[in-house]
Amino acid sequence: MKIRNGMATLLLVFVLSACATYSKVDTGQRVPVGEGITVTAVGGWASISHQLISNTGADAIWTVDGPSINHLTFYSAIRSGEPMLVVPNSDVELPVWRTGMTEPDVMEFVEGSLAKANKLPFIETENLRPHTFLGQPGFAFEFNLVNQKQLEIRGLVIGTQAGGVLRMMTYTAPKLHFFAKDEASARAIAATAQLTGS
Amino acid sequence: MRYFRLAMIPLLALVLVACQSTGELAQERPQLRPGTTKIALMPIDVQLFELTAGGLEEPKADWTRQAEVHVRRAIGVVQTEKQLKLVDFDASTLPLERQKVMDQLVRLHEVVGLEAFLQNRFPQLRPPTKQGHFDWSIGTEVQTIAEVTGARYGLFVFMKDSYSSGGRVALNVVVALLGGSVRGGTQLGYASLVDLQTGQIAWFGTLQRAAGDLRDQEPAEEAVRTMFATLSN
Amino acid sequence: MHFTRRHLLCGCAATALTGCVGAGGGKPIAAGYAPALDSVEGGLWEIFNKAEADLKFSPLRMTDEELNRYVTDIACRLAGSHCPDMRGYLVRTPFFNASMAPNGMMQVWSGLLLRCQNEAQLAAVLGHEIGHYLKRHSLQRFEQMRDNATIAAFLGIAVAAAGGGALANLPGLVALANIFAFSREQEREADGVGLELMVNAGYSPIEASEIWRGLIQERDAGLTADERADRKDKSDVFFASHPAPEDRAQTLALQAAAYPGGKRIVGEERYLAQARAFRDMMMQDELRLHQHDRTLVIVDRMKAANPGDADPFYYEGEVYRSRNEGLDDGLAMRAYSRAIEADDDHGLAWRGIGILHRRAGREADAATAFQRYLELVPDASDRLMIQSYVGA
Repeated sequence: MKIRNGMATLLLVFVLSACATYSKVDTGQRVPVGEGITVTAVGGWASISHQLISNTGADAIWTVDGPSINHLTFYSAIRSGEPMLVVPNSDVELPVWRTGMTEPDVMEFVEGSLAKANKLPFIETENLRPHTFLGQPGFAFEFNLVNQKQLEIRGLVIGTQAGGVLRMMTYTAPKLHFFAKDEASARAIAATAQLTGS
Repeated sequence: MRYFRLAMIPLLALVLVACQSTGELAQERPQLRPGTTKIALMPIDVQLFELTAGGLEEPKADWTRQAEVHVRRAIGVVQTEKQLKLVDFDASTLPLERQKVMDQLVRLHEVVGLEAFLQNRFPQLRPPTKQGHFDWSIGTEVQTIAEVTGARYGLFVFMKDSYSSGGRVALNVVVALLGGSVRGGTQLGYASLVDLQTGQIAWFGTLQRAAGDLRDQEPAEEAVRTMFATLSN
Repeated sequence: MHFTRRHLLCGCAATALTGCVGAGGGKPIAAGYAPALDSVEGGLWEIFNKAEADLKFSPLRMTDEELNRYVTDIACRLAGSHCPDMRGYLVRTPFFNASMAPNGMMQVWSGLLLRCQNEAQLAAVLGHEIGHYLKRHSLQRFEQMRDNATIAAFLGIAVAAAGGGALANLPGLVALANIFAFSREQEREADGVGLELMVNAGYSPIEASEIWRGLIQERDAGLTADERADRKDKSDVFFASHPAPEDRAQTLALQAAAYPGGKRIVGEERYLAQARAFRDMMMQDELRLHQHDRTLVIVDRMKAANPGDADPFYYEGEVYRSRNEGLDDGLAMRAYSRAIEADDDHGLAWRGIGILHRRAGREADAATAFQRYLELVPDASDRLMIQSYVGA
């Protein structure tokens, strides 16, 4: 049986070697989530091993129930000309972020990135609004998508663009039951986010 | 999303079989009163395949039909043995929008069931947040099932089975001699008893092994019994 | 053929009557036919029956009754007595594809609806797919390949998609749609059948060739001659499994010419009127793909078909604004302005203008445009953000 995917092979190694796949993030604990950002955990989350997410474009990914169910993802430093996500071994051209984009542009950038990288048949964004993040003026919006298993997924994006860098946090979970379950916790964590330099 | 989808590849599970069947109980255990607690049986999903020498999984419609009958009958046997009161869930009387939600529920259960299955089988894949009691819910939309059927619990059953054809068996032997391994027939399944008020999975049974046969009544009965072994009232 | 209502697959009764195990692929299928369960064909149907059960309540299914009825009527005029054996599903997926499963489950993707320019073109695609069904090409292909080990991985995809209870994921749909990667002969045969069906139904056969010309245009958009040559070999959801579109366009045009002339249906107005209600949704889905050059081909077509329509200019503006390279902001501004010239109340064009001004730091101009946008689209999904720009 051929397991074509690098990720699957890696997982296999983890399963066999009993390496740590996750590390626990306790409530109240302040932890770094990428370049220059720390957050304080609210509610119980598990951080997925860095080796396992190194190919995704994200700087940290947390989950409550498991990686196929829900996640909180941090993008700490997207610079001008860079994409949000990484699709290994693929010539898919992903949208890139550019300084000077307006918030509606950023929303469309996120929407397009998720759609292209995940080959989503459907994604729709809603309720773009001003939202303070990392102590800076920023934005927030929600999205609904249908994933490849035709399960409806809902997401929340909170971010800010300043100093030539786009910083974001996304929270995604199945629309049924799971999104609402940890939404408050995700929002609370976003509210604790700080730039370490400041 | 993308990277997580990969994490779920059930092939891993197929490669690394340890025990044949396991069960998990939520902190709030199912309260099954013999012969009186109504359980709604969700449409069972059974699929049978033949593995040809080329490694091809050829779907077998006739086997699948047989297996469906056998699994249903086997559930009937388990029902009698464990004195369960099963009723069928028929969504077709609901308005289209509710039918769509019920369809989403089944899809959600598939994802949740597979994640729970993998975490159950491989402790490394179980996040620290899931270390305590078995704690999985698919949400309160399941109340619709209770409204339609009057049931207290919902039973979701998933089974997949594949068999080596003659040529495949020969190939297995040859490859084994060379020190390799090819996938033989496998049996994989999981079943959930879902509290139709809270959506909580009160009991979760799994089955996984390289043997078994759903094409015949007796082994099918044995497989279903094994999967349900940990369910008690 | 039903596009809207649930249709139970009535395999049992017909099975008892036919009972022909291993009925050959390629042989024409009789109306009302269903294979025996213990046959290879029965196994094939079973996979797709499951996939179909899954598609029925999919959130991606477009269930609008009028649109479904419209497409169903066309398909039934083409399929004649086989109409009840096929079930069509409109699926919201922004790629050019239609598919026919061996059991009569036909999918038409929204990306195809967006690209057809008239009813005859849609009829050409539907006729082609019906051709695959009538000639049982899936079974034929499967019989040719089933002993061949090299297709293991290939069919593995389909089984992964169809098995495990998690049916009909998108790559699964693509795999299932293209599972048998019909041979060139089969494609040609389906083209021939499709052409005949469309002529019998009164449609202008040359439109079958036109749809391929449109795809070639799109494929080659924005490419240099070298890149074009290279692109021909590259895989694509659609092109990967089909013969070269140039050949098909040419062959279809020649075949069409062989049919006697006379007044035949093209149905441009009728088609565009039906598609109109879904055009914006389909275009927004298209824009999300960030395939700017290709999208511009669609926009140009739209401009030609609807002179005086503001929307194509707005879409053009969206393409350039999204591409955001070099002179794109200027191109976008020009396009939005033309949309406004055509329709001063085009709220979304005003939004685009506002964004461009804001990007360039022209706050006052941005505010004027945004205010116009908010007046025209009071329930805009980005209202709060835009209000914060305007200072309202």
